[in-house]
Amino acid sequence: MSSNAFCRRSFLKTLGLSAVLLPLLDFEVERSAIAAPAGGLRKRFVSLFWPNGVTNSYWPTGGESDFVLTDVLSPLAPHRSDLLILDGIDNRAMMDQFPSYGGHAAMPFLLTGGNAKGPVGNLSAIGNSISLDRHLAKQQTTPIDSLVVGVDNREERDISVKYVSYNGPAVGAQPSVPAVLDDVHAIYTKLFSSLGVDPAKLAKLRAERKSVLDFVGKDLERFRGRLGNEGREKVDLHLQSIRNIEGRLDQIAVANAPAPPGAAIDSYSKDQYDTVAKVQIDMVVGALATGQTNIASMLWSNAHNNSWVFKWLGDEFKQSGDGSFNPLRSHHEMAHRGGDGSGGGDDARRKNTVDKYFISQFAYLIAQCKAVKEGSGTLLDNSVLLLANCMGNGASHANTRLPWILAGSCGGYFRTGRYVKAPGTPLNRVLVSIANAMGDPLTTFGPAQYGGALAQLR
Amino acid sequence: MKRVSSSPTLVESLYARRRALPVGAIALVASLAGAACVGTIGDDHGAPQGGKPIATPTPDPGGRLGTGATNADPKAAGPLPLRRLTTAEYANTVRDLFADPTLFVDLPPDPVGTHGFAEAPLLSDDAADALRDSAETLATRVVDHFDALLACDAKALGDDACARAFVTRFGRRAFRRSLAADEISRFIDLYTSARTTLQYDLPGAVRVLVTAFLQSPSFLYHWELGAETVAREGEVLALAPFQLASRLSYFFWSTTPDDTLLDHAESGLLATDAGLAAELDRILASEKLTSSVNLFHNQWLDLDREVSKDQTLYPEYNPDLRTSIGDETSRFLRYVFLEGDGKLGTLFTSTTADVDARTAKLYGLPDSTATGVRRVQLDASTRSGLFTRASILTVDSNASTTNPPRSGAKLWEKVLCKTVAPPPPGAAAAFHFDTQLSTRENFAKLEADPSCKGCHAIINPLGFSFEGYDAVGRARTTEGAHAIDASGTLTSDASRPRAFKSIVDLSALLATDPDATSCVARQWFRFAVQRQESAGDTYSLESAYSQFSTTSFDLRALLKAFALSRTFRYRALEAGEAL
Repeated sequence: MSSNAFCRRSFLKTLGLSAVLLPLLDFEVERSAIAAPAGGLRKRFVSLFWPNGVTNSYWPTGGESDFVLTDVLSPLAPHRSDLLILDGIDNRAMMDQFPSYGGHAAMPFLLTGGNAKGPVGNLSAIGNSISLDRHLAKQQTTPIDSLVVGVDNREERDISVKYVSYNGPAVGAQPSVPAVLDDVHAIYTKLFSSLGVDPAKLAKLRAERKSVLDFVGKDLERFRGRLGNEGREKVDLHLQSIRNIEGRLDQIAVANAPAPPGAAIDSYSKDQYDTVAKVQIDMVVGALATGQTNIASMLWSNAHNNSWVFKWLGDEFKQSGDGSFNPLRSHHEMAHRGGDGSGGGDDARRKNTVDKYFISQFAYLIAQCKAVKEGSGTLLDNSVLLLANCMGNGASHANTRLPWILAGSCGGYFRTGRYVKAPGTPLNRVLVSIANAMGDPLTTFGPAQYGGALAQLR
Repeated sequence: MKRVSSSPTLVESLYARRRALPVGAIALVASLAGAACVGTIGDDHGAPQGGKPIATPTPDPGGRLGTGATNADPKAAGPLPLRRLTTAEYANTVRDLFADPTLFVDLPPDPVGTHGFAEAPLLSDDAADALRDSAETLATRVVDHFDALLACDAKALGDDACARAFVTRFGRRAFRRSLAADEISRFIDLYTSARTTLQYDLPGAVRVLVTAFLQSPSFLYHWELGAETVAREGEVLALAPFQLASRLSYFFWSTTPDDTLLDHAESGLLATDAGLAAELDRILASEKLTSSVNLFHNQWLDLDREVSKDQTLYPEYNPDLRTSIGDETSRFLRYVFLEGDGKLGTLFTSTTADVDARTAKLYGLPDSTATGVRRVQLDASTRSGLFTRASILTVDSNASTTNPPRSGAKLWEKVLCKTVAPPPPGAAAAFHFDTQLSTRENFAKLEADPSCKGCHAIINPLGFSFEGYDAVGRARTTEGAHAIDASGTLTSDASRPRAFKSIVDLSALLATDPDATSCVARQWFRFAVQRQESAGDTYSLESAYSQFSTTSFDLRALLKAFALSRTFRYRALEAGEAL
């Protein structure tokens, strides 16, 4: 028995799952090497979202190639040659469509490039077009077209500050979005649980699922017949999802799974967010490495991060703030108080500490990608990772000078190891460049007026 | 309980027609004039700070009801958009469907829809995955009690006959309507294929059936329409009897109809005014009413939000206390809606409370070492009605201090249905809390700032009314060295400003205030129809409000009037709909 199979069994045991029915086992997993598509190795795109901007202490000094990383960026030092640190990216589409919006309203624009729909009801705008991750997902033949995972996203009830990934236009006042997976145990089961299961048993389970999904699909077709336009749009999204998960049953992936997460991890415990975030990164990299998916979007956590309390960063982060914000020292409060970072006060120092923490998480993602050997290089060489914040300056929640970073050359497309200053660049141009790097020749993304690929990145 | 016997079209009422502005028109007509304002510093949970156009009001936030005659059409009805069961509805439904209150449902909580209450998201692959996993897990669990589930003697009658009986009987409960013959055939085909192709035994094949039922759109969506024809009456359609039964059940019980309700739908009883009114009396007397009453208040006032408190200041605040606080509010709501007179005045001013030892201590009651739950009358000078209970006081306070602008904005927006804009970008960075001053003095500074006072002059006084409590809801007369001042003036009616000393007498003012009573009616209406008001609702909404008003604001009379109204029993045709 392989160690993977062993891990799998003990994992099931901890979940107390029935041996008769193993929920969540979908695609078949084989131990053969995954075939590279014609023209080279598979390319991957991972976005990592975080909110609340940065202080001025974030920005590097120096020139394009002799740039000097600040203390906030120092966790990236080992990966300096893999980076494109972008300076001058603006959320232009939102600034044009909703001039008074601040950075909390930016999530529907970041990966779609706009335009958004809104305001809806009492909320700010909601996403109204497909996001880049989901657009690229449609071109994939992997068992899972893309993954969307998040930490601390579950309790966010406001649809205008919760999602960066969108499947397409909104229906009525509801955004069309992938669910955000957050429970690390469920994610592990979804991705890797069919390892070590008796193939005959697995085949039978898949046959059962096929017959039920086929039944449900036909039911949905009947059901939609008598509905109005909006009702049919909703049912069509449902039907498409049923067809997609039905199709997934025929897929085959390779086995090279990470270890299952420790049973003690509680994905919803604020005290464990640090661990949960790292485990989610492990899962995503495992899914990329094993061919389960090529596209992933990670959320930390919503547009305000009000309930992240960074207890693991030291005692001062366990204390309550100054009275104007609800939670204990939350990231959001620190962002407002941190100002431009030049004052050197405690607030700025704490915000910089938090920013450095998030940068270190991105560095961890990079390191994990580098640890997977592929061809003559690593998984990172065939990937582009995007660290995307919804704000520029955190104190003012600005929509300009977003602290975005790319990592990985995506098969040699990007010329990395540089600090690229491009003031006034619509974020759409970065999205076009990523699409091109991934092999999609599109020339604009979102409203065409925001331009095409950013030549400086090559 | 007072009975509302007349049909809505017979109810005499006076009402004002409100014009619903299309969303796109708002930005054009909006201005910073009048009550427009620019900020609630430090509170953007759930509403993006700086994330809305500063001068953009909520689309049709709703104004006063019962203010005069209009030409609203008594035959009109609003739309019935297709909605999926919310997670709360799904959980209640499967527990009732399988008569197992311990069934655990592992689905994520829903976001809030534009009407202010939970709304299930549009389907995506992973959401469909989650529904499938849930169906498989539940089906596996319920076939463990196979005899009870099947309720059929397979040895005597044969497997296939029992399977057919199961599909017919269980299908009616799962789909909340009778199944058409061809629907039954399709399930029988699925059963047969499970027995033959998959070689499952009877329990295995029934498990497959349950898995399919729980993923079927007729289970997952609020749309209990089988093969029956739907008759058009002018511009509207009457709901099919089973649709009405479910609408009633989910409005009042947040769960699936019981067999009696389904029987009454099938027999035609619900189609008559008298039959419907009698059924409503049964529905309103049921303990299940507490499900909807709890969901409504939790979502209306955001009572179940998780909050953290500074443990150095409030070491007693822990998950147990949080649970006790929530339970006290639930019992209070049960008292008002099931035991008491159901009046808004009771909800807003009653001192009756069922406390356990932890809440008793929090409320400063003597003899708080007693175990179990006991009924007490709270000190009327500090605890009177819903707004003085620890649940709302805790959730609206910060970790260490109160948050008057947030508390005030909640009353202004949720209880008075007025709008308040979020602060402009960067506003919060300019605000600094001076620990030498009282909380009130700190936030009062914003009323002097030209860029802040537009809002804070309105919401601060309402919020200061809660200053007689600390961040975990304990009554207080001082804050450090500062004496508490919770007084202010209610300015929602600019022509009639009314002074209050604290939230206690403000609550009494709100209980009869025309803005507040209209707003409560609108909130319940949104919960009842699970959407925002539309033009077709005007007559129904005004008629129900008239009932509310003439019964001294009896909430049960209001809810009953909604259920009897045209817009609840009829619906507008949806664009593209083929009858």
